[in-house]
Amino acid sequence: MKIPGYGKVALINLSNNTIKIWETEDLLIKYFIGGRGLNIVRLYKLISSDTEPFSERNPIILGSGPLSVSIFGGRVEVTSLSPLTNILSTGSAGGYFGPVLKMAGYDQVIIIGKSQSPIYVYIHDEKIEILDAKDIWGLDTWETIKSLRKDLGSNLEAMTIGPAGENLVKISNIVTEYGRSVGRGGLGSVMGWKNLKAIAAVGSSDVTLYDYEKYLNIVDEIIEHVKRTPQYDYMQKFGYWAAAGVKECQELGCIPGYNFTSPLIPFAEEISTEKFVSEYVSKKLACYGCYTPCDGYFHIKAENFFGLGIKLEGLLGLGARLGISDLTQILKANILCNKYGLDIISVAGVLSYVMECNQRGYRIKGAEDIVFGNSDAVLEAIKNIAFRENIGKLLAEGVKHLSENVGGSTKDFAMHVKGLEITSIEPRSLKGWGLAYAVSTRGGCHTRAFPMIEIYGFKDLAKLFFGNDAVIERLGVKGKGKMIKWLEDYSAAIDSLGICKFPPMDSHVILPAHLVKLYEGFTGLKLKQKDLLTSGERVVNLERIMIYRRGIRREHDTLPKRLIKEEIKEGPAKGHIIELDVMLDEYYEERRWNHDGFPSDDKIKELKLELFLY
Amino acid sequence: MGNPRQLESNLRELIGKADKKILFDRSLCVCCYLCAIMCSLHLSHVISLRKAAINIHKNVIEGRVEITIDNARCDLCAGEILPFCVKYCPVSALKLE
Repeated sequence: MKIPGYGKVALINLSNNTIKIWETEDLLIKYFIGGRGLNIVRLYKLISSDTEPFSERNPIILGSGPLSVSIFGGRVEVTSLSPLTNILSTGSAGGYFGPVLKMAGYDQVIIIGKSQSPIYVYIHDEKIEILDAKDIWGLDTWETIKSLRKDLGSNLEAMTIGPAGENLVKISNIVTEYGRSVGRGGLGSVMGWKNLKAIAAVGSSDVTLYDYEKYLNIVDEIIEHVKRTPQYDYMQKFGYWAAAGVKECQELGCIPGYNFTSPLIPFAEEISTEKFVSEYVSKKLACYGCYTPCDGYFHIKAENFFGLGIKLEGLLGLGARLGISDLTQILKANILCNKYGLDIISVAGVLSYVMECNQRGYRIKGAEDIVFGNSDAVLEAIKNIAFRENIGKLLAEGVKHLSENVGGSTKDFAMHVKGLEITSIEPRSLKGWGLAYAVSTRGGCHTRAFPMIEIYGFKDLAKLFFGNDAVIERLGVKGKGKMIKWLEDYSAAIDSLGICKFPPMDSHVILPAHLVKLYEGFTGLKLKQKDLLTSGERVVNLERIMIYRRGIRREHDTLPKRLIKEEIKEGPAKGHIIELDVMLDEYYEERRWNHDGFPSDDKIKELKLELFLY
Repeated sequence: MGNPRQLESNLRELIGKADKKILFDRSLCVCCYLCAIMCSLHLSHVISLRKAAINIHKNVIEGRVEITIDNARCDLCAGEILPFCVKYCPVSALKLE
């Protein structure tokens, strides 16, 4: 019998225009839930240890979770091999595509092969077509969605690439609904290599629930809980949850100012979230199914310049990290990245490195204007990267490649882990973040563990999650291994459900107990909290096994030298470095991984992973 | 103690909604579709934006949204104390007056 919340899988081969469709397997649902979990199982099966990211074998996989159409849902997980890092890329986007994919009847769409000419995939309910994209090739992501909607209807949703993906830029991404993006590690270029401009979907099928009454009761229970939290009061007053805004990061000394040399900046007020909301936002927006909206539309009429909201990563990355204090210029850079289909975090990582090279006298020919604070040069560089023009040819390869090219001691301040540019939060002031960057299965990124609890200091929740609140001490190291392991497992489970990570892991207005009840009400499948975390742990371990088979060992679970050797200059963490080895030892012990970073036999057996390691 | 939703339903009998209608403020709408999701659940016990009596037409890039309510199908959520679109809207863009 079909399980409510679940549907079919489509395997599309662009090389020979074949499409195979089947029901999602019960065994996979039981062990991996959906979304990110199902995606890693498919990727693991489809590739081998030497599959090239730009090859017909490398799939691009889109997965909607069982709760993607539910309240608090709205997500789509996209998974592939990264051309930037040569390991895993998996990430989740909001907007509306995930729910629409589910309403069309699909849990997963897996695209392999390569088309000989530009095409897009059009999913309308259960029907899938591969259509000519000659007319939209070359358009930016905004023009692409507008064009598709003009031709196929305004209720269409799409995952699109811009010029950056078409030009095989390794820090390109995939954009949906103008400002929601996914695919850190260059997944835009995986689509570009396949000549795949967009995946468009229209869905009008009914999504059935297992138990209507039970589902509504748990929805009411969660909303009551959300409303009782102090965070909700803040959201109501301020507009949305942005407690860890720029000003708060300034207080904690975790600003990545000037390529992680200044944890405090003199212009925090000028680029603050509060300033953006009060002076720019004219309309609040949300993703599908969201009860705690966090997006905003702005329109600067004098310049006829408009777009969707900027997030902390944009403010800190394109502002603080580059020494830029003009919020309008930061917004322009943010919007350009969205239109061209570029990863904002990686763009900030590449450009801040170039700026520091210039400051220190390392000459990169053609990049002389890219200096701290020069926002016009940043806008020009973004365009050059997207079109691989001038200096953009080199910058399009990412900061690891670039620093190997420039050489010398510049590698020490090329801020990446496993080739992926790290997030714009200074981890010497938040030690758990440092560990999270080091062990993330997709390289330098915070969203695998999403340790926002360390920033906010929610002690009661720390006791509930980890058994004690000492582990969220920002400058401590003891207990971080346990904390990051727990958070990574929880995060993977949430990505598998298709739920937005903000309510359960950022504002923390939703608890694990709520998620399992919501899942049970929706699907009818029993899920204990312990099993939810075990499913997440299974996902993290399978991801780890996959990247291990592509050469990742403990020695790669490291951080840029700056973070582990250079003491931070000022702020609450003055004098601190990241004591990574101590935290890594504890993390490996908690994970029960061997000294190389491979799960122990008993861990594999406990997680029943041997069933899937074919 | 009964089911809370049953208690709500009983309360509804005491309050009544007969001479009221749903009003909306487009400028507040955030395009989350919770009104339509919950509407379809009430009317059909499934999630289907097509089956909802309320329809949201978003144009986020212009900061615009259109809302339409099919009064022929809207029963103000018979059996519930409040219409679901009003109850579940996170920004109070809909009201029963």
